[in-house]
Amino acid sequence: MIPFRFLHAADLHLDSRFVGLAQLPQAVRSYLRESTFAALGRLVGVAVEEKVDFVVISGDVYDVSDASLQGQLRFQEALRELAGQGIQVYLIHGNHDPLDGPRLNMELPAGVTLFGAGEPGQAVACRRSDGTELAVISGISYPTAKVTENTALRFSRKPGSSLFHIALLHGNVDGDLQHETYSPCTRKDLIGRGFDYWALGHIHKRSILHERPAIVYPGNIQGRSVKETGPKGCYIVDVNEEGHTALRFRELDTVRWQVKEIPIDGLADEAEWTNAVERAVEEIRDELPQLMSVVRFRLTGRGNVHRLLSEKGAAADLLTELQRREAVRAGQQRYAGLVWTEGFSVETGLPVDRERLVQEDSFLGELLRLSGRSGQTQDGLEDLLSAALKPLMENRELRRLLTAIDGDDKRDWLRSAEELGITLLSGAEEAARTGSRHQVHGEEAAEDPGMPDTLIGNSADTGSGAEEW
Amino acid sequence: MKIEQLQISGFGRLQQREIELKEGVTVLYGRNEAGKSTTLQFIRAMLFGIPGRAHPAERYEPLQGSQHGGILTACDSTGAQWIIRRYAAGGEQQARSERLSITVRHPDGRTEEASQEELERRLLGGISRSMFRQLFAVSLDELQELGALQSEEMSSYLFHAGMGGGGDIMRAERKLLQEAEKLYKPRGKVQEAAKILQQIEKLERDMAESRALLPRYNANLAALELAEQKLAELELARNSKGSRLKLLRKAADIRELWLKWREARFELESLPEISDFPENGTVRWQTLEAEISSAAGAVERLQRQRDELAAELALHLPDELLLAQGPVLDLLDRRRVSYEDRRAERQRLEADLAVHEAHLERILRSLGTGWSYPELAAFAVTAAEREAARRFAAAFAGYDRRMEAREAERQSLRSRLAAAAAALQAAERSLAREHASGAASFAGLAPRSPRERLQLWDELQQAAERWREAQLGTAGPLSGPESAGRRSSGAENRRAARYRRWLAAGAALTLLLPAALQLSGAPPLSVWSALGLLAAADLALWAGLRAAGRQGTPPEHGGGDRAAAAAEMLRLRGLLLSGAEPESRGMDAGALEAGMRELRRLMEAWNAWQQRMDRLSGECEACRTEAEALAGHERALAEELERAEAEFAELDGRYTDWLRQRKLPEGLSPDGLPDLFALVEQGNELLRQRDKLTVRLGELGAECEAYEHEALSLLQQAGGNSSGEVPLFTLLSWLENRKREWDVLRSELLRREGLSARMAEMHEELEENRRQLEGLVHRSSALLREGGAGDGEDFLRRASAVQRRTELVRAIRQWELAMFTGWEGSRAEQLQQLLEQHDASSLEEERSAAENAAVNLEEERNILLEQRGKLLQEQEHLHERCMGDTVSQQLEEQRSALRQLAGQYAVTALAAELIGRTRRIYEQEKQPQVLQLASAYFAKLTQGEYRRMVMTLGHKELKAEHEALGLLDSGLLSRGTQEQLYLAVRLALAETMSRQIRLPLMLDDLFVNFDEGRLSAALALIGELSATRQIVMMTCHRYVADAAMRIIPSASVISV
Repeated sequence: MIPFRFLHAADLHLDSRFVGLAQLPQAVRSYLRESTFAALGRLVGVAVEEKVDFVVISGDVYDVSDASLQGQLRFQEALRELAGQGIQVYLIHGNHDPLDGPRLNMELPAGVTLFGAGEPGQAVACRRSDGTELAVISGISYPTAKVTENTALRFSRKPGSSLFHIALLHGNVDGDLQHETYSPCTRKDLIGRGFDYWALGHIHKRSILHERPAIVYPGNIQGRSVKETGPKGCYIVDVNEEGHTALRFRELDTVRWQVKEIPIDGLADEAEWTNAVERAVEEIRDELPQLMSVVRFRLTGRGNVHRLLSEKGAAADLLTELQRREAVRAGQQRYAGLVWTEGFSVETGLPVDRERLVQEDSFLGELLRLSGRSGQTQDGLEDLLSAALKPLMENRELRRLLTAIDGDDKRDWLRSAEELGITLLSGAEEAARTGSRHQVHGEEAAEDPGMPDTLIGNSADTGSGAEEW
Repeated sequence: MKIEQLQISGFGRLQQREIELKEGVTVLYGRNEAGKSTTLQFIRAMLFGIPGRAHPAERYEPLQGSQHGGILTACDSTGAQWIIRRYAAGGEQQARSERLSITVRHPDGRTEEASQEELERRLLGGISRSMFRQLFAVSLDELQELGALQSEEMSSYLFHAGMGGGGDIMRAERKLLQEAEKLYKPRGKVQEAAKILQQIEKLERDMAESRALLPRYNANLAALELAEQKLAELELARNSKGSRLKLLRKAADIRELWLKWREARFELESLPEISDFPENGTVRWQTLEAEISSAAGAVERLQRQRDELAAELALHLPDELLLAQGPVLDLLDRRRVSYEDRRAERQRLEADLAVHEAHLERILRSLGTGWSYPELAAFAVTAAEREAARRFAAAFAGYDRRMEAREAERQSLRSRLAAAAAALQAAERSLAREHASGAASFAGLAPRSPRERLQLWDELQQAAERWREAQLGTAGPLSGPESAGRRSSGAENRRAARYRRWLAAGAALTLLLPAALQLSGAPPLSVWSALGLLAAADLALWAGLRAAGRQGTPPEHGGGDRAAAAAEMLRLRGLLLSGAEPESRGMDAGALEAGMRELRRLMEAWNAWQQRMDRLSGECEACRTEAEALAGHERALAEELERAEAEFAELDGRYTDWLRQRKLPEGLSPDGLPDLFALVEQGNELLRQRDKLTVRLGELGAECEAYEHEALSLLQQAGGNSSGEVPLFTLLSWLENRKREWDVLRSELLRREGLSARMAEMHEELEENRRQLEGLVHRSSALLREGGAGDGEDFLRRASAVQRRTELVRAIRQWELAMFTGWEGSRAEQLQQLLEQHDASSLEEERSAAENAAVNLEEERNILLEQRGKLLQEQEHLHERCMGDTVSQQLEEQRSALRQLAGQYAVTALAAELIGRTRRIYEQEKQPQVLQLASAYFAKLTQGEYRRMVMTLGHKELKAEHEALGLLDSGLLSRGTQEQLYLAVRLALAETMSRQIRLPLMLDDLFVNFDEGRLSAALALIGELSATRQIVMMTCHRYVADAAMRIIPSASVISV
């Protein structure tokens, strides 16, 4: 077998939206929007720099649902550039850009092979330098946005060919075979087809499912929401004489998403908390001086700062301030090292022993037990939510939004609601009290919750503010 | 906790009281004011501090002045004993300033001091004073205070436990609902959500537009393609039309040319075809003709020139002799200058020689007699000669010096002599004056005077005589040297000079003396005598001078002449003296008488006079003596002079001999010798020069002669006419002429040489030209042959035909090029056909038609291009649009915001929902533990008449559920039942709140309103509770105490 090298990328999602960001300044918005294209540009650069023989793209080049003209034009441009370098491109379409989606009526540049739907197409890739045949590449595109069939089973090696075989597939491996709508299949199916390299797409998290044959999700090339954290890019695959593959990851993203946890335990006051957050911001800036970062801070732990966060809106204030600073920076075009705080996920609570509270025969205990019971089952949760969110359902937009909310988010809401209840109820008591005695009392209770008076004097608190995105 | 002992030091009306309390129920029974309630207060005060002065009712100051306070001993659940000693400090001080000591004794024997806080926390389980009062140490008043249940601590507990503080829960719920409504409200317009929703709606509209971009772009692409296609088609049509038009235009353009071209072709066809005609025949023929004629001309000319040259050469033949003499002439001519120089030099030298010789003659003449060149050459001026000459000169000089010194000496002597003579005369004159005066005055004394006068006269005569002798003595030595010094002319000259000096001195003296004598007033006689003496001397001197001046006169006669003159003078003097004598005589006679009268006086005067006369005569005498001495001196000097004269003569002789030996002229003074020597040297030098000149002259003469001889020989050779002497001038001028002739000849020769060379050249040239001419003639005939022409004319005719043909061919080719360049084969044919078939007008017609068509096509194309431009512009616009299009992202942002808001809303609403649901659970299903317990107690107290009690949340309404009547509001119950209800609640609360640390319960006469049955029930309940808790009951009713004793067997009754 002739050694060669290729680039494997997937899920470019060109010009797709960035989820979860509200009230972006124009400069940041423009930069974010450009980031997928920038990543594509870097992909081309990497392909040229690494002297790859060809490039495979495993679907979801763009979000056809958005019908972005720019995305398609820019992709055409990139393909032309690669073609100009003599780099062949093999690509399939996935669930986000199925063949029936709105498409730019432009011919693909020479040297670009697009596999259609139906049966997996086959093509032979050649060496860039001299045209020696290197590999057989198969692939299948999504005709529509939903493919419930296990299309992996249709792939088969080219008869009689001893060349390296690469399969391009967009789908969810080892997913729920019954309900999956994105070409469900199992690892075993793939291994059984006898291909040397499964170039997968669809899952945005980078992962190598299997070594020989290689089954690889390269992940997307640019994170687009706080769910897509960490470095994003593509794989450079070197195939040696024995047909063994060696993978190298190359970062392509220009905007890095992160979730940082900031425990509030031990933070005495707002100033300390603000310092902690600002320090975290600067740490990120130092860590990634060349990239723009988008970060969500998870505020965790239990402490007295919680009350500030939940009642006084300190988190919202700080967020506004942080965003204002970075907006100034963005206005000066200093995107490298820009750290955009996407939001605070307030998961904190007052310093109370929640477990004890749950077991306690009290209003809060009852409330927590009730909440716990409801949260355990889908129906219970839905029942609770539908009752609570009934007014929202009257609006079409909100209805659509709420139906899209998944169970985890709902459970998060519930947890936050519990903390809010704790905070409010204990807060109400404390608001009714006066004098310093309460403070002393509260602290004593915090130290020694075993005293019965604690239960009276310092009913559990916590409750999540509204910082849910 | 268990209270073991109370030691009341002083508290209210109690003092020095000790009360032991046991486990279980203790009944404090006593009459009113026995101190039951005080004991209760005491316990409170012991545990929580004695109330301050602000609360005198609760402070219980001891009425009898004992110490306010006491000791309480209690035991906690671990068995440790707490001893609390508390006393109020001083009457004036504040409540807080109490003396407190708390000692804890652990069962293991440890003891420790504790503070009030520790006490409250460890012993009392954190129960506050008010809570203790309301729950554990209860009097009837407090039991009936419903508000007691609403004290903050209790209500928070109840609230927490879901019992009493439901209002806060309601408030929280309401707050949450408000907040949720702030976020969102159906059909609301001002909520945040509403704003976001509006924004979303707007953005979605934009989004639709944004989505339309792609189809528009696609449509644009399709339209563009169509336009391109049409353009391409149009381009094809345009090309074909264009080429036809081009053809037509071209045809019109080249028509003129084409006509000419055709004509030329016809003419070409008519011309004969002559092949192999020599290239450029005409030109070549003409050239050859011209060359032949010029070559023939050249030959002729050269021949003529050659003949001329030969004639010229024959005409002039050169002079042979001159030719032979030429080099010598040159030589002579070159040497001529030097020859003339030599001649000039010879003449100059000859002149020099003559000068030298004249000079020599002069020198010889000046040297003296008899000397000629040989002598002069022989006389060598040696050092010895010079020395000798110097010696002589020195000797003569020495003589001269000596003589001079002596002369000077003699002169001085003579002057002194003169002075002496003068002094003598003066003396004599004064004597004479005395005498005269005497004579005048003493005339009377004549008798005696003659004698005396005679005597005087004698003396006078003697004096004159002596003077005369002296005079003679002086003249004698003078004449001696004079006669002797005449021998050499030099000595004579010197003497003469000396005489001249003496004479001058003497003359001066002679002239001066009379004057001097006149002045001194000497008597004339003596004057005259002196004068005479002097004059004589002068005369003698004058004579000497004359003798000395007269050289060569015999000097021997000089002395004789002088003696004669002296004698003459003596005689003259004698005459003069005799003349004087009569006079004196006459005078002596005349004065005798007069002199007699005055004889005495005269005698006396005379004596004086005589004395004066004597002194004067003495003086005279002295003067005379001196004069004589001087004369002696003079004589000695004269002798010396004489000796010197002799030495001089001897020297002179030697000198003369020396001169003679050297043939020098005699009389040459030694001083002149150096001059002579110089002359001799000069002469010698001149002699040498003369010799040199002579030699040189000889040489020059020889050279000149040689030159002249040579010239002469030439002359003889040439002319032969003058074999004899030829004057030099002639010779030279001949030579010069001859030389000129030679030069002319030489140039002539050169010219001849040139002429011969040219002739040779010309000859060659002539030959060459002849050869050329032959060649040319040959070539000409060959050319004619080649051209196929018989003669020149024929050749020219043929040549012009050929040329015309060539021209035509070239023109045709040019026109073809001009017409068809850029038009390849088939199109050129098309063009030709077109030209053949159409005349000019039809061509024009067709062309204008084609042009119109082309214009139409162009217009169409422009329209299409414009359309395409628009499409491209639109495409560009779409491109830009999509580049700046962030609607989708903005929409997403709004949705994110909305989602956040929804989350916020959800959390808030969920919390509210949870609270609501929990509240309902509480209200409907689950009463709190306290209420349940209270319900149980209440049921027991009412012996089942009431089943339970219920509390509604938020409204703080306590309700009792009657067995039959159902829920009854507590306010509607009878007093007793109410109290039972409250008791039940209190007991339940106490039971619930102090599960770990069971505080003792103190009930102050609570059962007064209970009927018997219920009292029993209550006591039974107390009994039950006392199993786990110390209970202290105070009562003032016997029946209560009794009943307690009866119902609770373990109870101990303490009578107060």
